[in-house]
Amino acid sequence: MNEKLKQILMQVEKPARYVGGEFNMPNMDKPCNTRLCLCFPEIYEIGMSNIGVRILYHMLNEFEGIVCERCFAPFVDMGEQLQANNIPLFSIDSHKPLKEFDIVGMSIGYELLYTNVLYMLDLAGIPFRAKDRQNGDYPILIAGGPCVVNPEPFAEIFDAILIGEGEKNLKEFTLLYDECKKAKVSKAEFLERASKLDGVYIPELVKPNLVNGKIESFSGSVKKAIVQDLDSSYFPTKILVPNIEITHDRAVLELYRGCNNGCRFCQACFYYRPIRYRKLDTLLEYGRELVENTGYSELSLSSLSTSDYYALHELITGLKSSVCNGDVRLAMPSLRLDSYKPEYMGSGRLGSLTFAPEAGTQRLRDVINKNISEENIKNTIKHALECGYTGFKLYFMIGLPTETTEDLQGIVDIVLLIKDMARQYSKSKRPVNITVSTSVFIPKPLTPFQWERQISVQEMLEKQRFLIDNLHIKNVRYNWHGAESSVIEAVFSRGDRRLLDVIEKAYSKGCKFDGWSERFDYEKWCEAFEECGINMSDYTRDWQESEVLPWDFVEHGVSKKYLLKERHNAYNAVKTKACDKQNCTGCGANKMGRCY
Amino acid sequence: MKVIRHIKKGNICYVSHIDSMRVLQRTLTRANISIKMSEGFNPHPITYTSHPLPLGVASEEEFFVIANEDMTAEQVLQAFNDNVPNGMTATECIECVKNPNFAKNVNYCEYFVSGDFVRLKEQLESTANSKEWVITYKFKDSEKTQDIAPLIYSFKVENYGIRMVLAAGNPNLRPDRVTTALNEKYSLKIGTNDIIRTKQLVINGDKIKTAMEFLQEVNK
Repeated sequence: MNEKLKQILMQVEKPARYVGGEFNMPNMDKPCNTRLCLCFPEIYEIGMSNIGVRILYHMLNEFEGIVCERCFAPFVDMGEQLQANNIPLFSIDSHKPLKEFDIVGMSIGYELLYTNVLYMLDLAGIPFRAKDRQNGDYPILIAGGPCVVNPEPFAEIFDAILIGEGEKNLKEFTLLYDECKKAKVSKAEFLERASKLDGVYIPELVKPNLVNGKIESFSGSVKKAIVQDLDSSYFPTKILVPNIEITHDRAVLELYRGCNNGCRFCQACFYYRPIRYRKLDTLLEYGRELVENTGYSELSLSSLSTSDYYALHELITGLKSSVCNGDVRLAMPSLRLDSYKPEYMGSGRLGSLTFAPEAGTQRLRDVINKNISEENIKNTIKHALECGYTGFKLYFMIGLPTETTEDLQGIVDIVLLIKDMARQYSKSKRPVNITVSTSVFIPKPLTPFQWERQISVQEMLEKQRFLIDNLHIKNVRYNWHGAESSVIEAVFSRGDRRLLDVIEKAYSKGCKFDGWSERFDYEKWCEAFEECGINMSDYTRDWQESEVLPWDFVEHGVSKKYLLKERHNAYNAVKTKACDKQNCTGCGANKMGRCY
Repeated sequence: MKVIRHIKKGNICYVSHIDSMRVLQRTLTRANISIKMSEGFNPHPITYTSHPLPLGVASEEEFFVIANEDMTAEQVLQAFNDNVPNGMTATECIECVKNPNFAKNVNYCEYFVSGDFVRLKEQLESTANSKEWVITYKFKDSEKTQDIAPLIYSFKVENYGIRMVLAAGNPNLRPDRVTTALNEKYSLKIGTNDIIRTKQLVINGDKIKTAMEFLQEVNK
């Protein structure tokens, strides 16, 4: 580390964010042909909590001749220091400037991180657009992460975008690069070859064909990459143990991918299909290894719906008897209402019970296909109260398609129901506290609601006002997610290539860390849109079913036809049962790989 | 009781005292070194550390005392070093009959500030060894003034740096506070990471004992 950097570190908050040196760090000094840096455009504490980055980092470092390092967005104070002292952004493992890597990969987790991508490139001294990097010795810039469901708004930044699971496409991409580098193949030739791999999208090669500014068709297509057998796919158990406290400071066990519930607003549910499990024995083994290798005193289970893991009961009891006894706690995820069992709860103090009915009335829950009945809710609450719970956290969405005031009133009614039941069943002397949180519905690509309009900011505020007024009840707290940031999220989640201008403009106005509510500046975003001559309402409007959508060139498995069918079911409030081994709902994901 | 004497050098210096304690705690868990739990209402593993090291300062001598009885000192040393992050390696592990209570008994620490100060030797030494040396420093949002002369036991400029012995514990004098004051007065550029804690001392009047000597006495 150079002297200048050492001095800077003493002037910023939490310098340990920038120095690496965690336990279980792979050998970075081995002979290496390909050097790759995985970036996460958020601060260390958040980036290090990301299980995807963790898996890929350790996986790549296992290969001979390949070294994979990490870089996170420096917080504002560090960013200023780097700029003031002319130090280009560096990796935290070996403090090498990003520019000196062969490949720089960005994991993009959500729409409000787009400005941070530019922020990191800016600090690294790397031009934003792929076309501006053609001359000059720059690393190959790639992107991955959940946002690649619709990569169009940021497509032109990257040389390649990896769609699907990194265990498959990032591995193949990196190994191919390694080979090409040895054979001294040109960058263009390498990208051409890489485009033949599953889940590798080269924005320069597959382009939308525009007619009067509207997308008519695409010059090619890309097939999402998945690992066929999740059980045998790579999962690290000798993982980095950060020296400072991170957001999710615990060992995480990933149970399975995909989700069989098919809630119609949920992107993850469809994107991560086909549904593939890790076997019970594998997980028990991983759980033991994780705890042994890290020294963490907490182990948590991760998946889209842990309740639906095929052997949840055996897994929990197995972990409790082998690893999670004594000093190691098994952190339970928020389970689906109907699967909750008192013995799953840890010993000691009972916290609050979290669940997400998402909508206030049965009708609307049927529309969104959230398979929770009034009966389920009542039973669970009764059960929880009898177990001694005194806190409930409820999550709802507002602005869902077909929502009316009645549905909002339904949210209030559920709260009143809990209060009522608390008087009857609560075992505790303490009052029962209820926290209600609402977020705004965002029509996401690859969901049956991808064509829906998003309600206007005005409507959002009215709905929030209704709830603020009606949830003014003793021991009830109401939290709401920012209306304005939801608009930006909606615009970018369904955006096209035109939006890169807006991202650049917003960044130049100082927008970064937009995911932090105190840093999010809606006015600057509005200015950026206006100056680029782009209407946000073009993206939040109701889209025609006949329109070609910006992300239609990606084969996700789940077919557009199925999504349309589900959309029509939604309007008729027809539920679609959760799929299982015997009852396939025909979403199309199993064309990619076998479910179950 | 086992007394683990370890270093803190390199990048891990940027990890604060409170975070280092968590790092050490996890090291013990990974190493499978069992620690006796306290018997209070909220049981926790019985461990003690030496005086906190300011962020960025390195150390050649830190102590981590643990209530472990079922392993030998050699076994603890081996297991600890196999599981501790780089830069915090233990140099020794000593069996001890009771907690030596370094936090209470160690009242001075020796620090070495690397750099070439020979040309300023007289000025620096006369400032630091004068009867009164009032400095101002920022504390949270306010400025404070303090006479630090009584807290400096010794201060010598050597060929490759400054060796100074400062009060530790209560009262305490942070080494970086001394170097910052010197920086301001003599326009120097001493960084916090130029400082290394070299020894922990138990000083009683004229009697100077190193922490290790003190430990031997406790064990007698």
